[in-house]
Amino acid sequence: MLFNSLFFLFIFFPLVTGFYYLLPHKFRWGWLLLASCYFYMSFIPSYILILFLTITIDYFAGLFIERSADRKKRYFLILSIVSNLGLLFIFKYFDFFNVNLSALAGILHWNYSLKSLALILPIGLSFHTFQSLSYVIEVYRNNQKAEHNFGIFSLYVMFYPQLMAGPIERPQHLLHQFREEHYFDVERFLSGLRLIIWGLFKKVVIADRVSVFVNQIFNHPPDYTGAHFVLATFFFAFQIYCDFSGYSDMARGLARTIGFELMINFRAPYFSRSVSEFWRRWHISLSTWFRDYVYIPLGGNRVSNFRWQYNLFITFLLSGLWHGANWTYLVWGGLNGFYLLFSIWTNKLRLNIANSLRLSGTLFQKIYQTLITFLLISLTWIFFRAKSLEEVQYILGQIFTDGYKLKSLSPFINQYHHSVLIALSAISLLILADYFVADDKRLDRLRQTPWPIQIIAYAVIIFLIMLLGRFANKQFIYYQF
Amino acid sequence: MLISSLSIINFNEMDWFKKILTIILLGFVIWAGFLLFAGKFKETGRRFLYQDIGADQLYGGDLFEYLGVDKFKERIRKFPFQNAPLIMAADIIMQGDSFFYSRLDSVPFPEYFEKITGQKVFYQYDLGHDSTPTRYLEDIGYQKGEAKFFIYETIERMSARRALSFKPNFSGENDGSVVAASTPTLGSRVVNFLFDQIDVEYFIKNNFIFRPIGLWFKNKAFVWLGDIDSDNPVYLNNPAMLFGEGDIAFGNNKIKFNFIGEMADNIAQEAKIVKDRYNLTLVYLIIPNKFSIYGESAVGGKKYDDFIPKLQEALKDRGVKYLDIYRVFDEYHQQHPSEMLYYAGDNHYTPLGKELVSKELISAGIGLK
Repeated sequence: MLFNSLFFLFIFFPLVTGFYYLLPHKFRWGWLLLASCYFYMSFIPSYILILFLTITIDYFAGLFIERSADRKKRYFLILSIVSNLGLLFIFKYFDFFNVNLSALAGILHWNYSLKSLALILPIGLSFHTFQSLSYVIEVYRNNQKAEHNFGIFSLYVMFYPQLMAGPIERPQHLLHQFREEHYFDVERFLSGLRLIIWGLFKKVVIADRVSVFVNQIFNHPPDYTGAHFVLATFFFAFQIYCDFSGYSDMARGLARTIGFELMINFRAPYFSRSVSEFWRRWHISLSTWFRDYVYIPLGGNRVSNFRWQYNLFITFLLSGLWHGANWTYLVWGGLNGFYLLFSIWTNKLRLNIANSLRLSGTLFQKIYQTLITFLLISLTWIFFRAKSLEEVQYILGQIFTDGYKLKSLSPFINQYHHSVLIALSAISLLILADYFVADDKRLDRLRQTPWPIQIIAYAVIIFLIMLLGRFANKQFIYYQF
Repeated sequence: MLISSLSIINFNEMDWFKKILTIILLGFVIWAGFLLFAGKFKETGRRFLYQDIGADQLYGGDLFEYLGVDKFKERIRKFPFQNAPLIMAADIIMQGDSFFYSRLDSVPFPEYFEKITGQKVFYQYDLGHDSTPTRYLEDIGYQKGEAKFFIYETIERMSARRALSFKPNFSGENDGSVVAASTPTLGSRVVNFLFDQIDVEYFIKNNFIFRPIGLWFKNKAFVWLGDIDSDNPVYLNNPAMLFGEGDIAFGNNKIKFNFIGEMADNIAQEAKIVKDRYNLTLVYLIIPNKFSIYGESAVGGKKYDDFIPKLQEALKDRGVKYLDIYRVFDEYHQQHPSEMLYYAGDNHYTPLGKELVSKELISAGIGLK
């Protein structure tokens, strides 16, 4: 079941939300757990057993860690981490490592004959594994008491708005909310609805519309020229942003309608003026997860200069691997890590140049920094979208040889011209909205807009969703992770 | 308990705006319950479906049904099926896709051909997309006998996928690809009832309230912005004509040319097996995509890439018998541009297209006593 499916929007959401408020408080977590199980099982019912296994292991790990002394605590933590990552490895990474080991064995003339498992990846496995792990680690660090109610702990891992693609929550932020009684508050409910509507707009009007152009070009590389790949990469940058942030907005909105607050996952990332700022605005729940559980335990920046840069790079490599078992994701993570290192190495030089040209703090500097960051990030999306490194090589080769020959685009634009124009207009609206989101003061001013104007604005967005939305049940890209 | 829990909503403390809003939201919950019930229990649901085919029961066309833009709406009468003769009594055996089974304003092609030639034609209605001639003949239990024609028809957009899936079974034994359908267990029926949302989604889209609203928006998007659907962006204004997503994707696909040799090899091998094992002469009949005939003048269209002529050339080199329907349709379209070979709002050919195909079969000596 997808958030953009009619079944979800017109049946699941109203019924779950409606009955949530109609039921007495003591039955509500049970109701939400039942709804979350149904939501998860509507993909592949039997895979709930895998989720149940993860939940059971981490539930008991949390209890044992709380009761144990230092050394034993550590064993339970390791047991939980190994079990969680082991499951993730079997389902997500085994075939990747197996294929590469097999290729390596071939080169070295070793006898290696392990067969691939070809398992279907349970939807959202990386997300709920990380969320569950974060609970065990926080209990181990004494930042969180172990949850004794198995049902509520299950709900923490399975809470349907964020089960499939986050935001990856922390127990300190989410777990206590399941015990709080939420009254029906019209303002809060409407605020949740606004997020749902805006998320849906991003998904069905922008992401699913531009996905047609992107898929057409990226799925048939030999048929297209460099200029096509430039266009497709530009659209993919907005497709993935609207797809994922649209999902996150909907997740936050759905949770808010029943009184829960989930963390913000995106904050106008394409308004970033550097790659490091981009990563503070993009998929915030994952970036902070890696910061808290990988980067800082590795030593963070409180180590030698070399070690600090090593920590940064390794964290980005692992983040790339988290996204998928393919060399393209690994290089994507590595490239982002390299960008950060490069910005560290050239920081003084860039400052000196900007100062000597008297550009520091000017509007011009802000604009070109934003544009360059967007271009650099867009370049990494090619690695993210392509199926293999050979394909990336081909696409980049095309872009750098005839990417500027815009005339070759005319048959493609001619074929999709209405749709391309609509997509560009919708993207402009998104950029305008993100302009307000990018800055807290501007966002506050936007929030103070009189309610009749807000109602009209959201009515227009609903109208646009119905007029231009694509309801072909296209899956969210991040579900596959 | 329920009433006391309703106090959670604090209805009495709300101002009039919030009261109205809360009532609307409760209405949505009740409406959701109704949609779920009507979607799951079809007998009830059918009573609340939007009837847009009119009292005359005329069909709008498959592309129209999907895209819903009135400009392309057809008024098509669907003909009933007849019973085909027994396999061994047939003079000609036919296997094909929806073009052979299409019964729009006319009987299905094999029945039509039977009527005009007087020959008995055997064919089935329910062939899968990847069914090959040999598997088909095995399935229907055909025994080798006197020499006959076996007409294999495919629409152009499916031709590559089908020909590349031909896996000739030389031993004559079932290779396991045909698996008998098993009766669903109680467990699987319960799982389906609980988690299968297809019927419910259909009801949500097509109920008496949502369908007219959806159609209104689709028509306005087309009239105001020229927007039909990102997957089906190409259309013809005069005469009005829609093109399917598969047609457009196939027209844009250049890689298909790399597979022409393999396709022709597979078809030739299949023709040889059919001849050796069943004494049947395979006649390969490829129906051009609507886009291949009309695409050049469409909004966002393009000149035909000559896929069929190139494939037919490869078939000729390998001695496979084929019918050049592309040439027939293209010539006819050039000479009579106002006469429609395909429906505006449907992927399939009109009775005129059907007639041209049968004439070509007859002119090739097929169907004559």
